[in-house]
Amino acid sequence: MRVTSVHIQRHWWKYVLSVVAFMMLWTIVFDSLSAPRKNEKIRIFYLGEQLDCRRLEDELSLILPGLTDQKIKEISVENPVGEVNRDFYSILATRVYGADIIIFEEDLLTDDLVKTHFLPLPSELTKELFDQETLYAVDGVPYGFRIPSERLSRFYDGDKSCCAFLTHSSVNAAGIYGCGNVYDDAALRIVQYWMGTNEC
Amino acid sequence: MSQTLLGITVGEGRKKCRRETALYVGLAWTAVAIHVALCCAYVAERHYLLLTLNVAIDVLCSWVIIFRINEILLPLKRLIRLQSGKKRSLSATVDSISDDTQRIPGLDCLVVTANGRRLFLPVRGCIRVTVGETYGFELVDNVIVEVRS
Repeated sequence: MRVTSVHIQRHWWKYVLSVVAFMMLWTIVFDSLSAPRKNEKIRIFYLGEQLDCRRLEDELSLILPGLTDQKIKEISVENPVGEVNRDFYSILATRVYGADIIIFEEDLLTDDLVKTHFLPLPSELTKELFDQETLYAVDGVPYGFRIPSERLSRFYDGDKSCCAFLTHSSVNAAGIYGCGNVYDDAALRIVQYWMGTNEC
Repeated sequence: MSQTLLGITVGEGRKKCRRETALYVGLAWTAVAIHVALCCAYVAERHYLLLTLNVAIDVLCSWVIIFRINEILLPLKRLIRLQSGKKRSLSATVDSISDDTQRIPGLDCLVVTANGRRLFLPVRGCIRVTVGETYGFELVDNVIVEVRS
């Protein structure tokens, strides 16, 4: 008993340190284990001024389970610029790699910007799933989608039309650009929903 | 009759050290195996249960290891180092033995006064001396490592 009490007096800090260290270590490990993987989260970036990101996020959270079988843990709609400023192009260049879908107000788009940052949509996909009139094309090649205004009217206060683009780094676009697999299709299904070709 | 500090030979003491170290390694690997099993069984619903189990396993294992290293392994290594050190002989009668201990090279030692000289007797060793008796001491840095009566 005396040995133990003397031992505790001398070495108590080692026991405390071990508790703190292991709690920190396992908290970090479990945080990374519980973090959604790339194919468990949908990230949408809106580059413009008038979209209510929070409301769009809420609606997508509600309807997504009816649109796809893919298990999504997290949906985020963000506006990284707040208001469009001169950093627009540099922000776009980086966000293309973090997002599944990027929404623009159409008057921000130029042919060069679209051709630089996005890949053409596969023709079999556009013929099968979308009306050619609703696609955003550059030199006759479809790159994105013109979202009908009634689809966004609940979240969008502006009077400009909006366009959505699937990014080539998205793993949730049914593998149309070679990323991810055909079963992870939540981003594509969301775009189809906005275009009225996939109702839940 | 002769008493040594370890009560066993230095070789046996080193074997004991190796067994003790193997015990810690075994304990650590067992903990790793349990962690792997728990992490494979990870589901979001049991997040906090699994987190608590993992922390508890590590804390318990580390407490056992900390205790045994400080109370068994390190003292044993120090005793081995003393017993295998360069010895000096002294024949003397024990005048007194202190009640309190002093920490002399990392070991708790009783202070033995023999013929007016202060000698140190590790509490964890196997040597027992009696006041008034005359012994032949083997000393390493004034620490008693062997006693002949």
